[in-house]
Amino acid sequence: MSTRLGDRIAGLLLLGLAVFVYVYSGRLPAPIQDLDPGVGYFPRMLAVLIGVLALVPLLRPQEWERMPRGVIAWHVLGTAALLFFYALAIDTLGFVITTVVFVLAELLLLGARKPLTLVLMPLGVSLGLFYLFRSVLDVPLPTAGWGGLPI
Amino acid sequence: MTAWFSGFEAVLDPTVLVLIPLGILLGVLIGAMPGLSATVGIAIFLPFTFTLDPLPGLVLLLGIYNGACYAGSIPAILLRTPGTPASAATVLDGYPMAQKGQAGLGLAVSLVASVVGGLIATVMLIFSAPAVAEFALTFGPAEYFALAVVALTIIASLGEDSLVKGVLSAALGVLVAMVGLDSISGASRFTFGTPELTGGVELIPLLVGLFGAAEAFVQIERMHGTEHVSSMGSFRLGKKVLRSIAPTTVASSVAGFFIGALPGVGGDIGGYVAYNETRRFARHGKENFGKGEPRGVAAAESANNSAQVGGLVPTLTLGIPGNTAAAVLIGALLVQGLRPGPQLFESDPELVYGSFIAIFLGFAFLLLVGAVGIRAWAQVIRIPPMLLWPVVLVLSIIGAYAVRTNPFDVFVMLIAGVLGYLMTKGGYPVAPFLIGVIIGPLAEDNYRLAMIQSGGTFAWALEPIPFVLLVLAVISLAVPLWRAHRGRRTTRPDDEITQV
Repeated sequence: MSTRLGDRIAGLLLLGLAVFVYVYSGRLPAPIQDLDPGVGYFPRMLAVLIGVLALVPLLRPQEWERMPRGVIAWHVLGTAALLFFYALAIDTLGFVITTVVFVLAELLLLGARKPLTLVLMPLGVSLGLFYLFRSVLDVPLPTAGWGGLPI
Repeated sequence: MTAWFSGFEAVLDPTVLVLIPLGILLGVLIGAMPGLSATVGIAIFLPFTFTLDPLPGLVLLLGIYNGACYAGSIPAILLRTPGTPASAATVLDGYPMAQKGQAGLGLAVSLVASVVGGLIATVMLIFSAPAVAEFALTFGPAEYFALAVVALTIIASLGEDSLVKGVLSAALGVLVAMVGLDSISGASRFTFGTPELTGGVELIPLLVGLFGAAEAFVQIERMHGTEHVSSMGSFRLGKKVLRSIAPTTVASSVAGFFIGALPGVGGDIGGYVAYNETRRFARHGKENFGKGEPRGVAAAESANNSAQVGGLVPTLTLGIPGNTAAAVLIGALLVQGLRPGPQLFESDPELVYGSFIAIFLGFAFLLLVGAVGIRAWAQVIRIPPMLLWPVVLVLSIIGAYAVRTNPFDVFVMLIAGVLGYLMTKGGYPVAPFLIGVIIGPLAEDNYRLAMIQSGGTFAWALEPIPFVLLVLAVISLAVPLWRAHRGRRTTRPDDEITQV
């Protein structure tokens, strides 16, 4: 697989985006003030610019940095998946539990195997930051009320 | 003078007095860790400032901003890996010094040059920023639109290898800024019925995604392999070395400030330019550059710290980010309900002048902690990345989530992270994108206002200031095109910039 494929896909996506934005902007409401170019004007100009420039990566693609393979690819993909899980879970499970699960899973994913690390890091990061943000800084973090505790 | 007085008074607040050194310390730790740049550091520490008052919050972030810029030289010298992009030029002579067993001397030169650069630049900031702000008060929509355009073209033209990719990145950023309610007519755009998007894409989740999460992806990929740290040697900085680096340190500091004051141009470019000029103008020992010449380290480090401070000029006076880290600072101010620009100097003098004083004190403190802890900071690079990046990710999530306690913003962060990662892979620079997001509304609103005010004609473009700025914008795009054209004709047939 050529690494130039990345630029071709990027060019195609950008071209698609430009066409979409151009059409969408044309349907936006007309300006209230007579001389105002309107809400659709700027996006349309951007769409033209992006559309024209997208032809460059599409037609004259450059090499991309090689995508990770094997285990390393799993590390990157796994991290993204864990972040997705985090966003889904945070309001249901609360910050403390979600963070413990996230950090533990991330450490295991990246190859940490020392039992002490696997226990101390997730608990330390989760409880430490929870205390710091909620109690010291007054930044609200979600809780689920596990076992009647404020976590 | 009353403005200065209120600044002094504000800095004497105990919280501020604690946060000045704390910010510097955090900055040094962050900068010393490869992969954690000033931008990433400020992005992940944003949530710590949400509930602080504006000045303490800004002071903490400014400490990280300046401390990290210095400390990026530590791994640059010891590992040949700049801790922050700003220290890229430091590697050129810093690492050869380490190979010669002079790592300690290199670190000492870097510390002194960084502090001198920072202090000189702070004085220049103090003298220039209020004047620029006063001048900018006379700006109308036409001037602001032209400024936004020239800022975007300069940033786009700096793209590492392709002008087209830089412009695409900036245009995409401006497009993202179009999402949400239009500020002039109140019409809703690109929200697709999602209530979370009515107010636009939240800036903070975008920032922490582009810098925290994306950098984590990149670093997790690079994590494999062990680093060898050279032995330190002596940290003593003799009179002879001091005398030899003094002229270049001062000259690079002054030059770095002006380079950094250009919108979007940060310490990395400041460092390279100063390094090259120092080598070119060296009266003796030119051949030593690249082989461990202390003057090379001094030039790069004084200029990058000075450029970092210079970047605050457009950031504070015009609301146009001087570099990516300053863009995150703008995000922090916006969360506090403050919009940087000339009005800020009149509405919040204690914040503006207080932060000037804090920056100055911060650099003085940096000299102290740098000198005392120089051996300790050098150990920070041994922290295993495996333990570091999960923490960075959790802090990024908190930053994204806590702005309005909505998991939607964690998804925004994730998407921005993946986008930032892919852009890095494809050679699409992230900085123009971010700066496009921040100054997109400035460009659009002022363009429309200028059109309305000039009766629907382009007469505003012929006014002196907008005209000069727009000409500069054209030049900033034409220069790289011309260079690429010339380069292609002579040596590199595969150069990227084409017929567009």
